[in-house]
Amino acid sequence: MIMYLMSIDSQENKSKFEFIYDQYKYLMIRVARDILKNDDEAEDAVHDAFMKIANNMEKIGEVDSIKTKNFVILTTKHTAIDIYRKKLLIHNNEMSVDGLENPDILVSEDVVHMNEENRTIYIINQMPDIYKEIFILKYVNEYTNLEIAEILNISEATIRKRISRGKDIIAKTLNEMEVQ
Amino acid sequence: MVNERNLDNLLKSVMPEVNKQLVDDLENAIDYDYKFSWKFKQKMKKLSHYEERKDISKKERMRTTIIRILAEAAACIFALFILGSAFGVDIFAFSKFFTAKVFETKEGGLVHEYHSITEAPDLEDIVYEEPSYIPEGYKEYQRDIFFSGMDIIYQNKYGDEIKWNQYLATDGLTMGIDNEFDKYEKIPYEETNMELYIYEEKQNITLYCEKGHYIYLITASSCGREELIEMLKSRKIVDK
Repeated sequence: MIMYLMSIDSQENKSKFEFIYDQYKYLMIRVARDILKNDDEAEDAVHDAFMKIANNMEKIGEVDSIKTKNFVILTTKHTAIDIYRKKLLIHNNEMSVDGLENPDILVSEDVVHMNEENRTIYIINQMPDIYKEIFILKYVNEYTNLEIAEILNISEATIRKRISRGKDIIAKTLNEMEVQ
Repeated sequence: MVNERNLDNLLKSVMPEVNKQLVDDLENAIDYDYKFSWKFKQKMKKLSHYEERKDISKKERMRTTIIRILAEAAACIFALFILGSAFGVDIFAFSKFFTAKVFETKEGGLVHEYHSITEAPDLEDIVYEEPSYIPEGYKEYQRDIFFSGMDIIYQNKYGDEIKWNQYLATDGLTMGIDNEFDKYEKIPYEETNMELYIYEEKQNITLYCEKGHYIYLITASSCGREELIEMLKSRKIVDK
C-alpha cells in the first residue's frame, strides 16, 4: 500500500493541460488572429478556447496527434467566430447558411481525368469550411454527431443535415463528372 | 454511380489528406515570435493552476479513501483488542479523528467534506479557541459563537479584515475554498499541516488547518504569511 501511495506521488507533475498549452498556443493564436484581426481579442479567444478544452479533457487522447490538433484548431476557430459575432452584435449562434445550400464547384477538364479519390479531395476543398470541419471531426477524429455538435456548439440535427447535404453535393458532383 | 456506402468509405479514405493539407497551411503560417501579453499569461497561469488542482484533488481523493480504509481497519482491530482486556482506554488517542474528501465544484470551489472516523465530541463539549496573537493595528470587531464553531472578525482602522473561523469537523460538514489561487504552500505543523492559499489578484490570503477534531480557517486581505501562521499557533481556549 505504501508503494502504491509512493507511485501516486512520483507521477509526472506536468498536467496534460500544460502539455496542450505548450504545444498548441502558437497555432491557436494564429487561428484566432486570422479571424479576429486583433491581438487582444485573439488572446481572449485562445483563453476561452483553453477553458473549453479543459472542460472536454476526456475527449483528448494523445496530446501530440492529428486528432488533438484538429480538436484544438476547431475549438479555437469557433470560439473566435463567437467573439467576432458578438462584436458585430449578431446573436444567431449558427453560422450563416448563405452559400451553403449549393456551393459552386468548378469542374475543369483536368479534374475529370483524375481518379475518384482525387476528384473527391478536389470537391471537398471547394466546399465551405463548415462541411470540411464536420467531415474532419467525423471521419478523422471519429466523433459521434452528438460530440461534434458539442464541439461546434450547434445542434445535433444541424450536424446531421450538414453531413447529409455535404454528401449529396459530393455525390452529385462526382456523378456529373462520370457523365462528362 | 456513387452510393451512400461507397461515399462513406471514400470520405474515410480521403479526409485524412484533406485534413493534412488544411493543417499544413495553418502551421506554415504560425508566428512563433508572437509575444503573448502579460494579461494573457496571467489568465493562463490561473487556468493552469486550476487544472493542476483538479489533478491533485483527484489524487487527494484517492489518498483520503485509502487512508480512511486503513484507519477504519486499524480502529476495528484495535477495538477488538481492547474489548477483551483494558476497558476505559481512550481510542481517540490511537486513531485519526476524521477524514476530509476534497472535490471541485463547477464554480471553481474546492470543497472539503468531512467524515468522522471516531465519534466527535458532544456539541456542548466543544472547546472554542481564539488567537492570542493579533497582528498590529487590528481589533476584534465581531464575534459569533454557534453550536458547532466560532467566527471572529478583526478589523484595522483602514477597514481591512482578518476572519478567524473554527469549526468542529462533524460528519457531513462541508467547507469551500476558492481554488483560483496563485500560490499554494503546505507547512508542517505539529502532527498535521497548515495549507496556505495566496490569491494575488484579489490580494487575499487564506490559512487552512485540520487539527484534532477541528478545522481552522484564517482569511486576511492585508496580512502576511507569517502573521497568519503566528495567529494559528497562538490559539488559546476561550473562557466560557
